[in-house]
Amino acid sequence: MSQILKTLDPFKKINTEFPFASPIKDWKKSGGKVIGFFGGDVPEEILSAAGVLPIWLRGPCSEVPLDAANAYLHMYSCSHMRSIFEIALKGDYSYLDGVMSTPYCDGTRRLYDVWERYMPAPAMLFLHTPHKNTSEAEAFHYQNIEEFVESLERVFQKKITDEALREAIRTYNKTRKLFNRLFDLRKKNNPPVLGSEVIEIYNASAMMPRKDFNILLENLINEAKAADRMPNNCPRLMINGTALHNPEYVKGIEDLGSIVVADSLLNGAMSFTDLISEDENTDPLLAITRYYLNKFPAPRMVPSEARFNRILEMAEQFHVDGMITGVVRYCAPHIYDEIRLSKRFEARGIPSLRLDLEYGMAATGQIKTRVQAFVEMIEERKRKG
Amino acid sequence: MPVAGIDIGSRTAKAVIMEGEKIISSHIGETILKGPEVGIAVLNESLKLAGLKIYDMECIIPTGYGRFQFTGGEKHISEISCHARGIHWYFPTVRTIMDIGGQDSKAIKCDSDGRLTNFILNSKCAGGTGRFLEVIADILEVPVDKLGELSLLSRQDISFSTVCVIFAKTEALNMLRDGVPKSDIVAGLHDSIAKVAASMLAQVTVEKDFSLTGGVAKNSGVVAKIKEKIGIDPLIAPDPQLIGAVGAALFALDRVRRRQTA
Amino acid sequence: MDHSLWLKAVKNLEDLTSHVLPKVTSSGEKAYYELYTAYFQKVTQAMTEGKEIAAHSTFVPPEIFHAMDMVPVLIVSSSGAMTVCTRNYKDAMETSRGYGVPLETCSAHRIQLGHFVKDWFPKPKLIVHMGAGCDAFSSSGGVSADLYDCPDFYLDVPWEYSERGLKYLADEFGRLIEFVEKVTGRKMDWNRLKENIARTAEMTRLYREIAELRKAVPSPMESRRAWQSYWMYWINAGTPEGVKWFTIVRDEVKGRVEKGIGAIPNEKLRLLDLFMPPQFSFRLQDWMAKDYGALFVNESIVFQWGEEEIDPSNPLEALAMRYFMAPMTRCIMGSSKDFINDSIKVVREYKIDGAVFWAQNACRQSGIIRSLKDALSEQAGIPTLVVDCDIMDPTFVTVEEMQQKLKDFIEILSERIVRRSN
Ligand code: SF4
Ligand code: SF4
Repeated sequence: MSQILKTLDPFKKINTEFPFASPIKDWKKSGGKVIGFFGGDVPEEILSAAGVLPIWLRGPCSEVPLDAANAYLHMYSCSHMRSIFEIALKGDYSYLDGVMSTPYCDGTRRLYDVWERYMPAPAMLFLHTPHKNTSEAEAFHYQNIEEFVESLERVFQKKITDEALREAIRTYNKTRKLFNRLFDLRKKNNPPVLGSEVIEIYNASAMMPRKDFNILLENLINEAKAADRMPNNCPRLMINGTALHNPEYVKGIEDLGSIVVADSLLNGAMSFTDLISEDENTDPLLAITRYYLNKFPAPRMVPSEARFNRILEMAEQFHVDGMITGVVRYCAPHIYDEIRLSKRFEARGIPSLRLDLEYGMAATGQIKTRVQAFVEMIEERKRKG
Repeated sequence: MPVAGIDIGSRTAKAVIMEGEKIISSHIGETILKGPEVGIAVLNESLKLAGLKIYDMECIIPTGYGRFQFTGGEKHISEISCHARGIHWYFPTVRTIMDIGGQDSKAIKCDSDGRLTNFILNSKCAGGTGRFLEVIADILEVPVDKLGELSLLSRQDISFSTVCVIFAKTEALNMLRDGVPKSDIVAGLHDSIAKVAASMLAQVTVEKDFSLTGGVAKNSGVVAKIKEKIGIDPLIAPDPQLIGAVGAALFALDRVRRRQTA
Repeated sequence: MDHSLWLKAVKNLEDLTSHVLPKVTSSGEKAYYELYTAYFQKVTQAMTEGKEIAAHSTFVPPEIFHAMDMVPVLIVSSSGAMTVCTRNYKDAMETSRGYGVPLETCSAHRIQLGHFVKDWFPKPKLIVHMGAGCDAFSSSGGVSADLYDCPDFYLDVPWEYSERGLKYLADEFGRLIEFVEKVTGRKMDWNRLKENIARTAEMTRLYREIAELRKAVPSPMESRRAWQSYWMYWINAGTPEGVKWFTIVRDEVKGRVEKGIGAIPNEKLRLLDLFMPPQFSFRLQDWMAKDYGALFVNESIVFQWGEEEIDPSNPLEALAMRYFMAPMTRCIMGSSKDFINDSIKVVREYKIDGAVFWAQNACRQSGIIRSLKDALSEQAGIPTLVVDCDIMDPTFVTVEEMQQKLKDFIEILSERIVRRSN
């Protein structure tokens, strides 16, 4: 990779300002409300339609001591959630006007419980999402969402209109459409953007108003499209597993002679691939309901086969040579998902590697050795044909 | 056209000089030195033995834990690939390798060309590694290289309830206090290591032939226990500690050959 | 299929039963051995006679399978029981590890998967699992279905009790029945289902009655009977055996209350059990009772019911209502508030001196510990001991290590009581 993408800088800058990035500060300064959320199925469109800035909470991009959080959440809670709470306990998330979660997994629901009990934000919001996309689930979830809209209206004293919802859907869809363009570039033989750079982009998306983000992303795509970055034939990897935010982790993998061309991360492709229907004749809340039940399925959704097929399809589209799944300790959803997914990859002749991680970790020590051997193994396979 | 492979482990560093698939010299040194110096030191020793100079080397490849710090190489390669390659050179029929090193252990599968096909590395803890043996040897006041012999005198099966070094240490101390013969304790310890190995091997599925490498492969007690657990006689290379460096040297040879044909 | 382990386990259980029964005086304990053994014998019989087996995770209503003339078998509890009976912990856990199940998930599920990797578990016609309990519960069933390559159904459970949640769950049970009909070609016998649920309602009534009786001082019931009751409630749900169990236990407990005698001769400390204790032995509880007169008089996770009644005339809603009202599902799903409030209530009603939380290795529920502990201290005025342990692996933390911790805690509690009465 010779050339540097200049349009990546604004993303990087915002990320260095974590956890109270300037776009959030500016939003607050102009009197806007901010809701921080965790869990995978929070309908940001609705929060946005309520005039609120939704930001996706995360921990720092390094493995930090979690002493404060450990006092509240036992160490068998994943370090992902504990890292978020560590920041909150230090007061660095005190600018939040509300905290929201879903029972995405035991990790998110227990963090929510503790947050609510020990340091409740002015607004505490919770939304249940079913695990299926049957017609009954749709009817059920539609009601959940309606109820959620009402509670939001009550809290923020603001009517959420259909027009505002449609507008929010368009803005959030725009992000997804742009990401799809970016993903298309990654399908190419010489992807103009590195996996570690994509993580920077994902991270920034979580910490700023979407309209502004869309402009930055569009700029980046335009530059990347025209960029003549070094072509290479190194192994093409897909990363999977627990949501991850440290670009250094991906950089560590790429520095060992590979390129990450795709992911099925919750904070990545899982949230940025599918679109919400913009059909003018559909009730926007119904469109949102359907989207959250039918989008790229997370490990919690059943039947699991839909998820596995989706990921395997991606592997094909992105010409993936190998899959690396990072699993944060005690992250049961991904522990079990990895077991089943890796068997399916291997059945298709695509090798897979599981890395046991702590949240925020970069690729160091033994992880490097594992990844390097894995990359060498793929190289050998490719050489052999 | 000589080449060098250097394996910089956490406890020892090894260098091998090869020419046309033949080992012309080798050296094993303790890693008292830190960083890149240790790699250079063992390389210099083996160069001395071979009567060569560093600029005679057509290609140098480092591997092992310290490979990232070593700057004199053309490319660094993981010790896992190097082990597969090295063993294949000694025993072309081997498909499964268990390497038990000082700090970590690995189960490796390779194909008929010595290429890596699957592997696992044990996690952070030292359970089931050479370090585990050393700690207990220390408590029992038995030299590490005498453990194998001693364990063969064992008359009863002892089992450790844990492979955690820290807990096993306490357990061994308690056994000593209770008058359990050292030979039995050591045999129990070997059994623990063999169990870890067998469990790792099960994760990659054992296929014939099978080879055991790393310092622990010199311990006849452990070898016997592993054989008992997996039901296959392991093949053991003349110097099981050198395998990684040999593999690295072979990769260096490959590169030289590719350069020549290109 | 390798039936040898199952057969050996059941044989061991039968031997134990015939060995223990003559010595047992408690009618509850006697009934437990008989009924527990009979449950597994029924599965063995189905295996040898080729009757269709439905493997299901805990909280999936067995009433449905009984009404369709299938033999239900619990997945995680049965594989666990087989391991306890044959003491093959290591083999089962190593096997699942070899398959790629990391140590960072709880041993109950690691053992379960070991049984499926080795083909030890009876081959079912279908597997039904559920999103209840914890993430490990809702995820491990899929791996089992992969390993046995058999059709599976996942029951989706709403986050918490609400009218529409009740309806959604009832619909899910309807879908489950359709699935079983399709896979097996059987038809649901709705009358039989109603009869089964009527028995479940009766079991529930007795269960609640026992809970009331347990408020007596001295406590009329051994803690092991509470855990046994909870498992009996699920393994024999809707069966005459289930009703029989609860009748026997109720009678025994009632008899003691009437006579004013306790389950142990010299009750000194009344404790609250907050989570599942290690499942491989009751040795700890027995030792605490015998040596210190310290007795668990309630286990809020398995002995607190919700208030609503179960109405058999609408069977699917009845099953859904039972799910929401039953202990365990009631408190470990949804927000932790129910669990906390239940426990506070229990402390007051059962005159409890202290609580013990069993912090299971890798357990997904451990995020609740701090909140529970604080709530019990602030709102109920009792201390909580957290005991690190492992649900199924007897080597992770030994009984002796746990005893040491418990001993210290019992001493502290005893001093508190002395001080209070002075
Ligand atoms: S998915 Fe895994 S890492 Fe993420 S919150 Fe849940 S348990 Fe934690
Ligand atoms: S012990 Fe914890 S992790 Fe294991 S099954 Fe029970 S609730 Fe789940």
